[in-house]
Amino acid sequence: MTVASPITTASVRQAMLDAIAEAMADDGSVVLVAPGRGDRAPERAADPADESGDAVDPGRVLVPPSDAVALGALCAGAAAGGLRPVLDLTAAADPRAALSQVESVAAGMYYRTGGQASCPLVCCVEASAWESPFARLVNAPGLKAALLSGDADIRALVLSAIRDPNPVVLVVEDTERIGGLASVALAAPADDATTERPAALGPAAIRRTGTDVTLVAIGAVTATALAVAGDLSEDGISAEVVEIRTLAPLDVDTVLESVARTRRLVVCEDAPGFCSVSGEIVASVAGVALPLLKAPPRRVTREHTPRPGAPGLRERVEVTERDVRAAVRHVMGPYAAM
Amino acid sequence: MLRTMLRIRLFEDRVGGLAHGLPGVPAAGFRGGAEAVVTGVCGALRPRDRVFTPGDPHRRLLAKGFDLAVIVREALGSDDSRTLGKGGWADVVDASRGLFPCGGEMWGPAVATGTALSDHRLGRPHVTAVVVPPSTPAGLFHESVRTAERWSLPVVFVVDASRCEDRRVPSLVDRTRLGDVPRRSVEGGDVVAVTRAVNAAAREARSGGGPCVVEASLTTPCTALAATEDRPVCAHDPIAAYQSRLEALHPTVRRAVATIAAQEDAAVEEAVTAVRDRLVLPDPEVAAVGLYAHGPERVAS
Repeated sequence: MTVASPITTASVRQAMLDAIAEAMADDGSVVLVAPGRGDRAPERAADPADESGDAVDPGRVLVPPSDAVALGALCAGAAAGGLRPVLDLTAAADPRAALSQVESVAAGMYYRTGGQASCPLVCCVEASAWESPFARLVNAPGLKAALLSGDADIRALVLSAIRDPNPVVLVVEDTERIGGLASVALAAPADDATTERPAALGPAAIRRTGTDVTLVAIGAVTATALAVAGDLSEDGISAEVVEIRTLAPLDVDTVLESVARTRRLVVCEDAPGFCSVSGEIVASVAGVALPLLKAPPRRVTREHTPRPGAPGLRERVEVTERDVRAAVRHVMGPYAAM
Repeated sequence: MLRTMLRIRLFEDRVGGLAHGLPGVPAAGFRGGAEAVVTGVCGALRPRDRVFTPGDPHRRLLAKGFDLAVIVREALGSDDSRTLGKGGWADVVDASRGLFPCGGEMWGPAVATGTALSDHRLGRPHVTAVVVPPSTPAGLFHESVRTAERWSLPVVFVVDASRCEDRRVPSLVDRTRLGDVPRRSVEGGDVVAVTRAVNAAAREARSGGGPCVVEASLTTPCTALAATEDRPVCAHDPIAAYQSRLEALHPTVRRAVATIAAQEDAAVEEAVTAVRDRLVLPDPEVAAVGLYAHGPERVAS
């Protein structure tokens, strides 16, 4: 059984900065570009002593003079010119302005130059900064996007992203869910969970093996899926949980292999379902393996609304264990005899 | 410089009529005039210095003396173009001549500042010049300039407001809080003045003085409008102005200018004809490959 400390926003940032420091030690071209935010002086926001001791070389931490309006394009130019910038927007009030430049300038650079220039830029953002980053990120061809949803993954994914020759967006997900994921991982029996997690960008991870239904979970909502899978096992339903850690490129092969075994599919995503990554997964499976399926695939997503403020309303629109359990029972129930 | 300005004008006349709707060529045609600014900028810099002209990306190729056939191939989306037909002349990369992707009119100043950051951090002695139109968003321009100032980056921001129609646009420099960044104003139709101003700014930037803003605008009234068939020409026509200046110094220049114009016209015609007659467009299947870089390949020097 793995022993892990509770995961918080600070520990996620700490793990990120540790990984960045490790990459800096390996590669002299890595720099950290870190705009501050209103409640902290910019220098303090990027001060290595603030969160990571002496790990990050202060001489390679660049604090821009203002907010993040032009930083995406600036870092794209720096990457094309030979640096490996890590743009930390986790403290930015709204990362979307800079992110749009990463999408429009950096994402297509390798393709549009006919392979003459690559753009090894890493951009770190928090998912809670806007409603649904997932679908937006996968619709920028040339961009890679991964989800930071567990402390063991953070180091591996950050290092993998920094060493990648392409622009990569790392999405830090809601810490409440990440904390849930850690506690579920702690509680899961060792022989019932796959602890080996691929380090590179791209591959999905099978977090729990099963035979009756494939539960695909995108990022931190894996915690919910694992909890439901544990409950369902007491009812005799064996659910295999596949965690999508990288949105682009999307590892559809692992999902297909799992579905080929279980022949049932439920996809969970903590984002509105309309034109979503979960929709893409269902379409990809249906396009190849529809004849194999014993039941129509189901999706469990957030409602297509802005995030409401009141707790009751929020629970109504978000992905809950009850929603996931109902979806699994739906694909199992009416079709169980088939 | 006269030859370069003539080449830009003749090229735009020829290729603009040929390639509308093809990759890299603006559907609305070229914004004629203002040849003095890009010519002066490239003439003032060293060969490996970086030049970004996001508003007119083909012009830096012409002013840097690229082979005309290379530029025409890019305009026509030829199979053997440098971008393999996937981009356009804004995406041509040649670090040995200071060319990186321009980043588009919107983000060009920031992309250029980022390239200067890489040169600065990696100890390269290059200066970056970025030529932007006065319609560039002031907020982005401001942030690029102030970022270059904060990090003491060797960037020369050139605001090209030297077309007559630019008079209708409020000054980009006036709309930007430059702080302590030095500002130079220069007559945009005077290629010699632009060269001198950029040369001085580049020298200062190279020696660690940080960025500079050069505003190339029209400082004299536009009163002598005369129209040709294709383009309104006024007293600010930089080619005519420079030609007059040379003729005042050397009466025999007129004949030499005619010779240069004929040579450049022939060179452009020859390049266009040669590429067009042997034009092979890319296999459409190529469009679906090459999205991600896989190896450590980089363009940086």
